[in-house]
Amino acid sequence: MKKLVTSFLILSFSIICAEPIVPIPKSINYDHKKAQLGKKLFFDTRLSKNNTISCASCHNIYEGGDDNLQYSFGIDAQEGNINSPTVLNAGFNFRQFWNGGAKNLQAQAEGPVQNPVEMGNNFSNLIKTLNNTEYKNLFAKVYSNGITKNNITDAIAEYEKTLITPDAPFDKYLRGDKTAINLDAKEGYELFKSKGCIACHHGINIGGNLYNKFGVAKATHSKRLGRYEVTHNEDDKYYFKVPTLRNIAQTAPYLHDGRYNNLKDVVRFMAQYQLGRVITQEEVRKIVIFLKTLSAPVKEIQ
Amino acid sequence: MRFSNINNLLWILSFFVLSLFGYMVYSNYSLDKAARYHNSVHSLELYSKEFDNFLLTQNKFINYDIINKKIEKFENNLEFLSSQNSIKLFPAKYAQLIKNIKKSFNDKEEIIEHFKSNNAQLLYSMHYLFDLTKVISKESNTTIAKNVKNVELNLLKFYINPTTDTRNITDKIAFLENLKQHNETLKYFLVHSKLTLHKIIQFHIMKTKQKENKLQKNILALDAFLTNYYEQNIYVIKIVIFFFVVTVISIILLLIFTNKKVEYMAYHDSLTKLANRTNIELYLQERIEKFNQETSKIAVLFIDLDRFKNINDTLGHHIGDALLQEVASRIQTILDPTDILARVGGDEFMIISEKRINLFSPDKLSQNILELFIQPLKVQGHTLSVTMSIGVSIAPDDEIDAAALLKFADIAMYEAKESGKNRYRFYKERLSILANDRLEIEQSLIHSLHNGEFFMMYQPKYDIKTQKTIGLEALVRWQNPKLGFVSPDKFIPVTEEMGLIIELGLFIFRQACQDFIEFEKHSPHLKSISINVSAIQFYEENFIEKISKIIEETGISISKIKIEITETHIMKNIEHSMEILQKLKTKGFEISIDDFGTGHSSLSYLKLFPINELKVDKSFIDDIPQDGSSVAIVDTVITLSKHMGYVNVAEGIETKEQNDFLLSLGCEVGQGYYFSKPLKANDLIAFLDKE
Repeated sequence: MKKLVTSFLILSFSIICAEPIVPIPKSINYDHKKAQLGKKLFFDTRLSKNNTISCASCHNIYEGGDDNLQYSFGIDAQEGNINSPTVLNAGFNFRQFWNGGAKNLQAQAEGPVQNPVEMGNNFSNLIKTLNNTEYKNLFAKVYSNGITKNNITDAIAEYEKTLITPDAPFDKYLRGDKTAINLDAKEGYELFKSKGCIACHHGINIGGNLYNKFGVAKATHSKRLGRYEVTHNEDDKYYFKVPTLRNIAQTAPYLHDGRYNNLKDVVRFMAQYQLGRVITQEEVRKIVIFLKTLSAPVKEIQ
Repeated sequence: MRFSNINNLLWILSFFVLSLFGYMVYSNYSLDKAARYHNSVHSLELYSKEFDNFLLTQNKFINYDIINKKIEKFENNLEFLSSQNSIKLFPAKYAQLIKNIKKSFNDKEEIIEHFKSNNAQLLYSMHYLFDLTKVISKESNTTIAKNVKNVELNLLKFYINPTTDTRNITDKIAFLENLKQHNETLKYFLVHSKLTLHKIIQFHIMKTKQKENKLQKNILALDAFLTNYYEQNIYVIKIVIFFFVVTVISIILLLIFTNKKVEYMAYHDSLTKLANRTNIELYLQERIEKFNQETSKIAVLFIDLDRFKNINDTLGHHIGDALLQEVASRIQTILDPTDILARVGGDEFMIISEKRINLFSPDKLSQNILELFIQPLKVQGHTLSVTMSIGVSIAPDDEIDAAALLKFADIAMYEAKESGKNRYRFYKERLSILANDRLEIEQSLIHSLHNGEFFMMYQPKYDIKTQKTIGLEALVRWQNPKLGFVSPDKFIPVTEEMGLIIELGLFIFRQACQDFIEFEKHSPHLKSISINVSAIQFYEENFIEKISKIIEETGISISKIKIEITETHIMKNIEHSMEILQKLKTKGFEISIDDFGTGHSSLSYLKLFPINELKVDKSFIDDIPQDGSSVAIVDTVITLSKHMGYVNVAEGIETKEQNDFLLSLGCEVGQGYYFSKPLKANDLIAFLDKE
């Protein structure tokens, strides 16, 4: 009897019941006018104080949605202190920024504009600037109250919402195309689940839906304190938003401090520091092959 | 209330109704909104419960997207509730309640986030732990395997029931850590054992925190607040609806009232507030249709101020108007509540007075009105002497038709004017039938007898002492389908002229005799029946033969029949009268002189007549006991009768006063409304039976 209960409990701890990863929808609803305006803003360096930096400077939507740098550079060649996360599929994240400091895309959009080491601007200045440009008319067409902070970030957020990458091979596989990924990738996915990666990296964005400690099993010596920066709660120290693994092959360097440049290293690191378990070279190889099936080109809006 | 005031009031009420309606619409809109807020709060409640359910999830993989979606929806609802528009809509308490929810939601969210992290960590640690336990069980010695299994089992137990003692686990872990031979697997096992233990403890702490569920409480507080707000508003709405209904009803009532006012204005004289001509005519019409001819009479008094035009011309209309008001109010003072006074023209008034027959005295009323104005009127500093002329018509005596009565009263009033003003005149008294009336009556009379339009009525004659019916006077009545009830005063002269009276007289005689035989059976006191005989009949050659024949046929005893003949008739042809009367007397009839006192009788002749009874004319009785000369005449006639051996009869006794006075004078027999009005045969039988 005792044994039965135990085995039932153990069984129930087994990680997977239903499919833990959900494919990205092929299209989403958005406000076309706003998104168009947002797109223009996204690529516009006039958002920055000295007209040098645009959102796209650090979020190259054609190259994984980030800038392939450990830390991004802002105006006046100032280096940031965190790895820029991808903007692709960011709308599926439950919070924005590594520390979850922004509730949603619109809140996030405020950040870089005002960050002194990013665009170094402020909104009253930005609104003034934009009001002297074609944006005055463009905004008037979309927003009855013209250019405001809320409208700028709303437009950008609306555009960012459209930046999704459907049709990754793995999504095709999930949708029923058994040939979309190879055997190694399939085995990699099984390992991904059985090793416990899936506990954090799951859902539509394969991550991006919880915070977890950076260094569960071993100390990681992170300079940044993660969620603690927002909540100042001791329990939140080193807790970061679990990043999405979508297009992970395109978003090196990895982790919030960009400490690894290739997937092998970061998988091994994750196994040791997060899961606290042994992983073989072969297992790492297969998992990396699986991770590479998560990439797809961004769906461009018209 | 003036008309314009009513209009103003209507405007105000209408405005009020519109405002109330507006408020109702607005309130309804607010309530709708409130209902939306309520729904939002209900969502919060539901999601909050889902959060709690989520936090109860144990030992299984959770896709956090689902809980994140719920958090997002919760946030959206909360954002809607905490928007500026929402805050503005409700009292200040609302903002505070929202603030409380926000705060507790932040706490709740934090717990959820920690749960998510811990759950993920615990999940893969324990999962790994089970794998490691299996491996260790296979490859290690029994002591290690046993301890590892023990740790695994106790961790599970602890997970299920976190209140159990953990010393057992920590001891075992410590034991394993102190072992010399550490392989890699055991090392990982120990790491995850400690991690798992730590996580379980953390879960426990979290759940303890969770017990105090502030979020749910705060949401329920907001829910209660909105429910209360909603109910209060419903209450207010109910009150508003109540006022709305009341106001609408008021408007309707006011409209009705206004219409009444219009109606009142249409039927009333604005100056004196009396009924106007339309009103009084309608009233008369109505009364004529309804009144009981047998028991009541209606008098129409037409009053016209004498020389009113002079006052108006010399002193101005305002004085004239004030005078009219004064006249109206003065007349009002002596009217019975049932009498209706109306102003029917510039200086013309009208009174409709309906009374039971015994109380009916239009002459008295007219006299009283005239006397009212013996005292001059004081109007705005002027002392004005006012007199008036009054014309009186009476239903059913004159006519049973409103228009005719009005006309007759008018005619009588002119008669009063012509006779010297400041007096009253009865239509009946002076007016013989007008030429055209006479023509009508003549034509109607031709077939009347044949058609059975005549009928008999009998007025009791009573012993003034005993107040018992001792005799009857037979009176003919004519009810013509076209002319209606025609007074004998009108048609008898016509029948006389037409010669129809001969036939009619016989009809009366026969009918009276037949009826009397019947009446006798009902009263032991009944001694005689008086039958009026016209002078025309008198002069007819075989008059006596004809009536004798009737007496034979009917079987009535001759001695019971009193032939009544007016004094005037006798005096017209004294010799002939004497002869006939003698004949009648010889036959055994009794002779009664009617209307005595009006025909200028010569007492010397009177003495020669074979008379049994003298009837004192009503006009003398009317004025006793007030009028001295009337009293003297009546007294004289009574004394005379006694001396001559006649029975004396007083006609037209209307009041007890008259009755008593006549008794005191020694009058033997009375007749009049005081005792009984003329009755139809059936009614008389009932009357006699009652006696």
